Amino acid sequence: MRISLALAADLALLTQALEGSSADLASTLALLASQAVVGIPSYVGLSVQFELDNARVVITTMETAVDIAEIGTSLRFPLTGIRDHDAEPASFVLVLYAREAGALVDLAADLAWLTGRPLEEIVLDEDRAGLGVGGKSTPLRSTSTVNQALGVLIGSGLTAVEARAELQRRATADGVDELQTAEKVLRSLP
Amino acid sequence: MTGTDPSVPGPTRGVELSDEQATADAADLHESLGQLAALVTGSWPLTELLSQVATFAVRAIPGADGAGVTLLAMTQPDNVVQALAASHPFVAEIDEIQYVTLHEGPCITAAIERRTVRSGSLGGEKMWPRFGPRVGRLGIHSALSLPLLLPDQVVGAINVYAHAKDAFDEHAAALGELFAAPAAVAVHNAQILAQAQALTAQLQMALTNRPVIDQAIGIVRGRSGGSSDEAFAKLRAISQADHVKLVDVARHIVDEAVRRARSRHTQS
Repeated sequence: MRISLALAADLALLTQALEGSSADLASTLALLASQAVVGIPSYVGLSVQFELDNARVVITTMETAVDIAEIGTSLRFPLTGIRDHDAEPASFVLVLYAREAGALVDLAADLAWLTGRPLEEIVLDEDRAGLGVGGKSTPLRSTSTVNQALGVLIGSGLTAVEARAELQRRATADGVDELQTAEKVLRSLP
Repeated sequence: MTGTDPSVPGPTRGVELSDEQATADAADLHESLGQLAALVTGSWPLTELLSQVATFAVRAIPGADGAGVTLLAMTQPDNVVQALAASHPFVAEIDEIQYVTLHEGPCITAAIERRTVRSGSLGGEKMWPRFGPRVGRLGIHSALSLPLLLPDQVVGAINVYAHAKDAFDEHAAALGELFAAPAAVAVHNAQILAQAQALTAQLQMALTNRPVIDQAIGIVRGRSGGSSDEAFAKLRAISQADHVKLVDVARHIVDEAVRRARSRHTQS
């Protein structure tokens, strides 16, 4: 499995937030990839996609370097998660890629009857151009920086809502985005 | 009538089946394959699926009294068992003997050698000098193990057992192989789904917990300086010392800070 260093760092950041010493996102992802290698002829990679703070996060792993033009087929499958009792279900999507046309047809059929989802929800061949070679960094680290800055402001005596408003006020005043303002807040610490 | 169903092999040479028996065997196999294909209108945990496959295997293979399905990580040392299920309790007991106690038996042989393995007299079976007699004393005398084969890898095995001696002939083995082929694909695809769902659950938990942990890190850094790694280490130390989940420690720190902020607002 090949992932970028930035993605590996992001997965490590998220793994810190998991309870249980055996949980490790990179390992879980690697096992999924290894199972796909065994079960899918001409498999080349996968991505897991979700929304975070209105940004689309794409976690991609490849087996080998491959040109997008070599992708013969793709399979997109929804994996719905639940955040908590009151929140909307978080939406995750798994996309698998293979070189040979038709390599994912059987898996699509099995996923449909294993989950009871209509076959129409499992989309073949519409994501062939979506595979990024070597993976991309994600907004996860940026979100982490912003949340740390919010924590600094909360610790200085602001409520959570006031802290968010203050961060946005400073960003507007300085003509920069929220991330740059958050980095400035953290840099100002002793 | 013998051989009228082209999808089922006729009786193997030397094995005589009546037309009625051949038809019945074919019907059982077809029904089991149909049930395999029709599994689930909802989400099935992997072990429940394996249990159903084991049950269908008993139906498909003539002479079977019980069956088990085992998924193996063949690339791991000692071929680590990843998941297993049994149609009957006695099969689970035999699995314990094979995988945990003795590390010897028909499933292990079938998986390593990638071939169907059969025994009609386990008590005196030379292939498994410890497993055979031990299982024989449980009253199980016949075994049929079918590797679950994908193009590049063995992913596990279906193990079928019977109380009678010589319960599984070549015809039973052939029917078993017909059943095992689609079962291998189905259970491995189920394993892919289970792993994808596990990844999703971990991501979900991490994405839910990380924001409050980061805010707590910010509070700690604001109070005492230091890097984010140092602040995280402090949170983890508190978690371990107080036997409280790290996310709960973080949430408490953030809630306390917010409470103080609201209190100041009320007083001013």
